[in-house]
Amino acid sequence: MTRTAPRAVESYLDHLRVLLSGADPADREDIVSSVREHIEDSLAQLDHPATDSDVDQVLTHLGPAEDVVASWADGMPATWPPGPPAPAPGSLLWAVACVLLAVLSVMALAVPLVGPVFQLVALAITVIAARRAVGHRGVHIAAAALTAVSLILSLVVLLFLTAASDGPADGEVPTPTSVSSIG
Amino acid sequence: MGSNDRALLLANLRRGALEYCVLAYLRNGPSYGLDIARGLGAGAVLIESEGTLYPLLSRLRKGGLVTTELREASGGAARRYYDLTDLGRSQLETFTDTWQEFTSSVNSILMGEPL
Repeated sequence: MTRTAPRAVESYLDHLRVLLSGADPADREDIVSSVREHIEDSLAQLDHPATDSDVDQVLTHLGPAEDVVASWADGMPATWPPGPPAPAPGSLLWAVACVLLAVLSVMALAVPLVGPVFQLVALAITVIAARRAVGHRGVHIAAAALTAVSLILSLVVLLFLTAASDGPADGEVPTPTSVSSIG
Repeated sequence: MGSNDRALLLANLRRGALEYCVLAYLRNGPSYGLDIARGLGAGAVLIESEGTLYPLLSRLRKGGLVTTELREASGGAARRYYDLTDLGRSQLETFTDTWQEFTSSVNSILMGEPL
């Protein structure tokens, strides 16, 4: 085999491997290694050292990698090519957990100081879960939105309470500040 | 009929028949991929591209119709040999009977003979 020949073979096999990325890994390796054997056998049966032209001819007889994949897909269920992956079994649990966090965030409005801290943590969790969710995305987004609204309301209440506690006491009349002259 | 129509027709006819042609080829004893491809590939009627054979062999192996065994080839490299199982042999017999009935009916219709 010439120096450039293995590159053409490896390129063909890499392309085939990529096209079979949706296949079961064991099936993919079985098919790719069988095709590799076929190429090696074909070149080994030549009565002279393989040239680029020989390699091209072997690959031509093999056919495009797309044809190999089409042959594989022929034996697949009618749903091939696969649609979006089904939600992982754990994703429903995550969705329920996020809804629970959102509800607790609303209840945390009644707890002035600890509430916003809890809501902030809950918001971080629900936003990360929503970004990573495969299924139930609507539920995840709604939970994150509800948690965010709860946090905003908590902060508004906190600001209001802070402003009220810094303000003048009831009945106290503000007096003008006296300015003394210097000098 | 154009060459595209002929290619499509052949592709449709191969479905469901080619795997049994592979089993029939293995009836005489274990064989390896290149040998099977060359054995079936003459005339490009059964196999248009040799590479399409390998997903089919993989399916036959998973279905228990053939087994594979690695044997050392003359050059020293390992080569996988495919061999017919009892299940494969039984399914080949069923296919052979059914195919004869099927082709007999198709031939009669094509020749304008009563069934």
